[in-house]
Amino acid sequence: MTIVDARGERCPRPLILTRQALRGVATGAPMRVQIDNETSRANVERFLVDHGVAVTVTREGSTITCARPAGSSSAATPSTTGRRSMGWR
Amino acid sequence: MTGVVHPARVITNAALEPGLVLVLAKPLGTGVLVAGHRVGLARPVDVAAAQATMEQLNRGAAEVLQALDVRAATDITGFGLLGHALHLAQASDVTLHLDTRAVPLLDGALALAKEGCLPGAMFRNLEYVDPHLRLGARVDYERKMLLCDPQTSGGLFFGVEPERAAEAVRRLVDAGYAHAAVVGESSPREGQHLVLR
Repeated sequence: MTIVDARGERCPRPLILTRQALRGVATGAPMRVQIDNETSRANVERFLVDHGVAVTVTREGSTITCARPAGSSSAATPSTTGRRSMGWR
Repeated sequence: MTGVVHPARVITNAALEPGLVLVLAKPLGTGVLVAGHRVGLARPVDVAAAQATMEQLNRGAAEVLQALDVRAATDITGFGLLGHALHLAQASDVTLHLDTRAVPLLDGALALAKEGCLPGAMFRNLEYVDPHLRLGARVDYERKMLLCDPQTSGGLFFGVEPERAAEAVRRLVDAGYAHAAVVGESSPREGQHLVLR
């Protein structure tokens, strides 16, 4: 499980860390991005969705987690059509 | 203080006719470069270029527009190119077609965007324009995002008669807007207000 801990980081650092993690994670492998503010949550969630990652968001205390469950996604190209597409890299 | 202008010389965002060529006077990417600078990822030479474009006034470009009898224009600021293009398209009831690869970018902006250096305001701008946007199949994700990059002191964006487009770019370059470029064209309203290719 790849876990990105971006708590305490401000825009655009959580996205940069998420981008790096996406490169290193095998297609379909689970990953988790932890953040601690709603602005970062909105941006990270949109970024992941745009890259075809099915995201579930959970909150525990001050930690917000955008998670990609195991085996939930496909394809190898990033989305240009936002929510409507399913690809990622 | 108020001013007086001859009605024939007014440039508005509601007068963009179909069939014009769209020109952007300054490169995009100041938001990305500033964010990249903040996190230590941007090259100093690129940050300096971004700074220079932010310091460049639009006065010289406005004079070129007056000389060419341009009737419809806007400046690009916080809503990004797509946000301000949308305002222009809505006010003029036309569709704007933009060639994402023709849009001038500051050096380093695309590389930073590919590293995930995307300012939060970019996502807000994207949400804002999304319902009005149609994307071609070959538009790069990062280029689409850069068209949403919030600009500080961005350039003028305007429509000009096709036969005068090359002259407009040449005059802008001569006036110091070295990145000025043709970026698309307007058509009668067809579904979405913005179409990217």
